[in-house]
Amino acid sequence: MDFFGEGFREAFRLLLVGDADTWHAITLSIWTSLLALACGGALGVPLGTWLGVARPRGGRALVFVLHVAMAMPTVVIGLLLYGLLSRRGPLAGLELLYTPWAIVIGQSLLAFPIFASLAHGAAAGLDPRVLETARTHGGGTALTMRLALGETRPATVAATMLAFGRCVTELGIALAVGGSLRMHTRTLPTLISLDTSRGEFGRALAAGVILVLLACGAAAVAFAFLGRSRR
Amino acid sequence: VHARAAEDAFVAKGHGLERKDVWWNRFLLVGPPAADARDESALWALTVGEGMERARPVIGSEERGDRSVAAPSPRLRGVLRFLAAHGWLFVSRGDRSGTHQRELELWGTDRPSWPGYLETGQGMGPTLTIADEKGAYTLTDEGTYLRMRRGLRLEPVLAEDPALRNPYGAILVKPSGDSARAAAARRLYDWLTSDACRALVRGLAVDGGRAFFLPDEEATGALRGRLDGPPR
Repeated sequence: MDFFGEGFREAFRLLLVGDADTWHAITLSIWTSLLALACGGALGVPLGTWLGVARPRGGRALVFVLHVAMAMPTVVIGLLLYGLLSRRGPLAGLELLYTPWAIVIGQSLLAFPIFASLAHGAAAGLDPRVLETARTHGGGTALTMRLALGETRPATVAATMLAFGRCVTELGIALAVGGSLRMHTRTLPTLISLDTSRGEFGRALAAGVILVLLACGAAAVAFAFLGRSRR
Repeated sequence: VHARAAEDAFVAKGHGLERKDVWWNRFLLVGPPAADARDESALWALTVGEGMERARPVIGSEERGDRSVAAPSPRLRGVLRFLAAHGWLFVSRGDRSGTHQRELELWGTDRPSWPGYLETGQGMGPTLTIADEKGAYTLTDEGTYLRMRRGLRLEPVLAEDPALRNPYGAILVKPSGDSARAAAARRLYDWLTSDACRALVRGLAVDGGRAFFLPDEEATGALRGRLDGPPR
């Protein structure tokens, strides 16, 4: 059976003809992931940098927790978030379960420890003289942080790339709190999982190809960006 | 097997020797508790006058032996049309399963579409869970609903309708030469319609409700939907 040949042909056909289900899954996967990156990064990068620069008491324990959180399986994040958002949970009133926003929250939780851990690693590894300079020039923590953020930009880009890859490909969160509702909360990974279980391997493989192209595109953008910043 | 039209064609073509009804179960239209179902009194008023008599499933001897899918009663059609017209949430399985096929037959269209019509593409369990969380309506088989109802707030809205019946039949397939196999098939076929099997079907209970009913039986003591009208 020409499994892969059929899959690639189907992928191009779906993209060219414009299959509504597939296009919706593509755009949903992209925008939820980007929003999750923005949320996770906005919180994670400053926290990680601060932990690395200021080295507060108890910071090591927090860094350890962030590292553990980085290895958290997406199904567990999905399960915990489901418990919070379900009608028996404490956040039931928000009525977010089975909406794209629930996926964004879950993916933010996925991205946050990645940003924080990598930012901490980069900030803690900075040349101490950089920070000394800031301090001797009378700068407080704010100035030191600004300086450190600039110096650790490659790490932030790497974290963004890694987090995007994780968010756009994750299945556990999107399935548990998104519900994979057609044209509503069905992301590329849940589309693939569904088509595989239905025996529609062609369409599943097509969506898989698109997903890999997305991940490659993100990696290429990050690579180009990193190359420019080093020059 | 439970797709009557296809079964009759199968027998007519000579692939099967005989076909008999063995048992039936029901589909239920379930929805949020009455307290949460805003405007449902309007729905009640809409459907109670219309087609009350015709809504009753007719189970007479003349109907026995021909239990193909009946057209939905005016009441059921009215309820569905009301849900769509008012944009209420309805969660469909959307997975081309038997239950999904029946749902589409009830709508009378290939793909109902309004913003509140959601398709899970998944099994009955996840679909019921999502409908429950969303406070939506859905079509379920009675067995799965009975098994899950302890954890659900969903309540039966309509249960008694000829179009919600799901008959199961047995077909004795034309033997292909192997006489031992043919004899075994005959024994199974005879057993499926025997008193022993009937007793088994009668005793099969899921969480206090009957999972299946016999072809000549009414759905006595079974779940009733709150729009089913006064008990007979």
